[in-house]
Amino acid sequence: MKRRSFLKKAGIATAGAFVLPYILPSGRLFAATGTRKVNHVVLVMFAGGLRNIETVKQNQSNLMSTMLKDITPFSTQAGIVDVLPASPLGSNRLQQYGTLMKEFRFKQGPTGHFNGHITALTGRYSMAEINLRTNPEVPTVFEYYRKHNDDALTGTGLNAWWISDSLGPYPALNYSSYPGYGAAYGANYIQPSSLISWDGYNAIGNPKTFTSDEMVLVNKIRGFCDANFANQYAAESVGVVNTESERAQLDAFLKELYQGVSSPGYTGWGFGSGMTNDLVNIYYSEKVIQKFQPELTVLNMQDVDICHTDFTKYCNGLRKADWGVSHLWNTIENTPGMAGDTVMIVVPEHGRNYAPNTVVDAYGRAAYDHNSDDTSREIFCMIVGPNNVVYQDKVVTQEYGESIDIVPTIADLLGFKDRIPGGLLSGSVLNEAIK
Amino acid sequence: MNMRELNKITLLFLFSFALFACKKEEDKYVYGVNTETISEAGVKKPYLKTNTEFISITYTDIFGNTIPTSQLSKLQTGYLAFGDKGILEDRIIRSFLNKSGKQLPASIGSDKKVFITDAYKKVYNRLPNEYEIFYLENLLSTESSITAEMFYYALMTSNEYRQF
Repeated sequence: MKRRSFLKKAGIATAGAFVLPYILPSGRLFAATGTRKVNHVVLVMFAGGLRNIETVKQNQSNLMSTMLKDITPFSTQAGIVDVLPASPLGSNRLQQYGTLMKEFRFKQGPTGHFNGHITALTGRYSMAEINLRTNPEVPTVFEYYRKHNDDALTGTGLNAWWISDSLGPYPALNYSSYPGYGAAYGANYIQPSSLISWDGYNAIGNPKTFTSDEMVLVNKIRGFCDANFANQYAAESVGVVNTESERAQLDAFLKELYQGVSSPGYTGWGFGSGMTNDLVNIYYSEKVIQKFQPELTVLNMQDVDICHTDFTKYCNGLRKADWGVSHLWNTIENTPGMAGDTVMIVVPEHGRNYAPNTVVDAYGRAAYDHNSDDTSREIFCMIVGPNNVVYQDKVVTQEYGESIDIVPTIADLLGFKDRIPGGLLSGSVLNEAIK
Repeated sequence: MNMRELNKITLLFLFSFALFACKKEEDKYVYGVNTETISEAGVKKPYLKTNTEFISITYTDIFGNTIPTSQLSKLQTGYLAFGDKGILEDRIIRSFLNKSGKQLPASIGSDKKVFITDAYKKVYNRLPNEYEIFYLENLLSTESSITAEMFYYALMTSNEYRQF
C-alpha cells in the first residue's frame, strides 16, 4: 500500500470510529435527549381535600369502589347512598391498570386548594403568600411541554389543555409569568360549567355567522387595520394564542358543545338532577379528549370540599368523583389515538385534618378542615397506563412520592424532561410506578 | 561647514518647523441617527382594555347605551372561562350583532369617506389618516358586497380595538 493511500484510509477509519456510534437506527446522528414513553398524559387533580382515611384506608367502607379494590366493601350508611350507575369498568377496578401509591405526600407549603394545584402543576412548593390574581411565578407543566417538546412532535396549543371546575384563580394556571415562558407556551383553557351553560349560551352561544366569502372581505379590512397597528399589539398580552386554523377548530368545538347542552340529560350518564360540578368537568374533559386527543390534559374536581361543613355530602361527592374518574379512563381507552398510548395520573392536591371542626351535619357526622396538620399532607397517587410503561396492579404501601414529583414524571413520560433547564424542578420521576 | 551647508540646514529646520508647528484643532462633529419608532399621531394606544372595559365599550359602540349589569356579569364569566380571548371577543361581538336594537348604519351610503370616517371615530375613537381613507374607500368601491355590518365587525375584531 502506498503511503498516501494508507493515510487516506486510516483517516476515514478514524473518522468513522468517532461518528458511527452516534448514528442511530433511526438515521439520526445524535440520540434525542429524551424518549417518549407514551404520547398522551392526563392529569386528574382529584382535588377539594381528600383524607387518606376515607380514600385508600376505606374507614367509611370503600367509597371509591370503581377505582380501588375493596378492603371494606362499600356499604350503604345513613345519608351515604348507592345511587351510582354501573361502574364504567365493569367488575375491574382502576388500580388494576397501574400503580397505587397509598402514602403520597404534599410535604410543604400551606394546605390550600390553590397552593396544592400550583405545586402539582409547576413541580414547586409555594411557601410564600400567593397572589390569586396573577399567573404563577414559575413555569407550569404546560409551558415546559410546549417549550421543550421535541420540535418534530406537536407542541401546539391544541395539544395542551387545562380544564378547571371553577373560576377564581384557576384560569391563571395555564401559564406563568416566568421570563422566557408565558402565554406563548400556555395551554388552552376552558371552565365548562360557566361557559357551556344556559347563561353562557345566551351570552355567546348564538352569534351571527358570516359566509366564507364574507369572511374573506372582513379579513381584508381587518388585515389592513392590523398591519397599521402591528408595532403596538402583543397578542400574548390577552392570553394563550392559537393559529387561525386552530381558532377555527376551537370555535367549531364551542359550537358543538352549545348544541349539546340544549338537550336535557345531555350527558346520558343517568345522574339526572344528581349531576355534580365534578361530573360536568369530567364530561367536558372527555369532549376535549375525543375532539383533539391532546398530548397533555389537566383537569380537576373539587366538590368534596363540602367536607368543611357536611361530611356526608363529602362521602357522596367522593363516590361520584370516583365514578367520573373511571368513566374518564374508559373514554380514553375507547378514543382512537389515545387508547393504549395514554398514562393517567390521579392525585389529590392535599388532604384534610385529623381532628374535626365544630360543625356536625344532619347525620351527626363531624366536618373537617385542612390546616396543614400531618394528616392534611397525606394523600394518594394512582398512575395507570399501558403495561409496558406503568407497573400493573401494584400497590406501594410505604411513604413514597410527593406532589413535586408529578411534573418531572409527566416530563419523563412525554420525553422532554432532560430539556428542562437545571434548577427549575427539584422533584423526581415516580419510578415505583413508571418503568 | 561652509555657508552653503549652513543655509541648507537652516532651511531644512525652518521647513520642518513649518510642517510640524502647532495649529488650531478644528472641532469635529460626528452625527448619528437614533432608532425611533414612527407612529401616526393619535394612534398611540399602549394600554390593553380590561375584560370589563372591552365588553362594556363594545356593547355601547353597538347598541348606543350602557350594558345592563346582569348581562355584563354573565359575559364576564364567560370571558374568564376560556383561554383564547380572541375567540371569546369575536363571539361576544358576533352575539351582539345577532341581537336587535343595534345602532349601526344600515348601509355604507354614497359617501364612503364619510362612512369610513364615522366608523373610525366610533370604533377607534380617532380620525382615519389619508392613506386609510384612500385604501378603504377604494376597497369599498371595488368590493360592493361589503356591508356596513361587515365593516364594523372587521374594525371591532381588529387589534387596535383591543387597546386604548
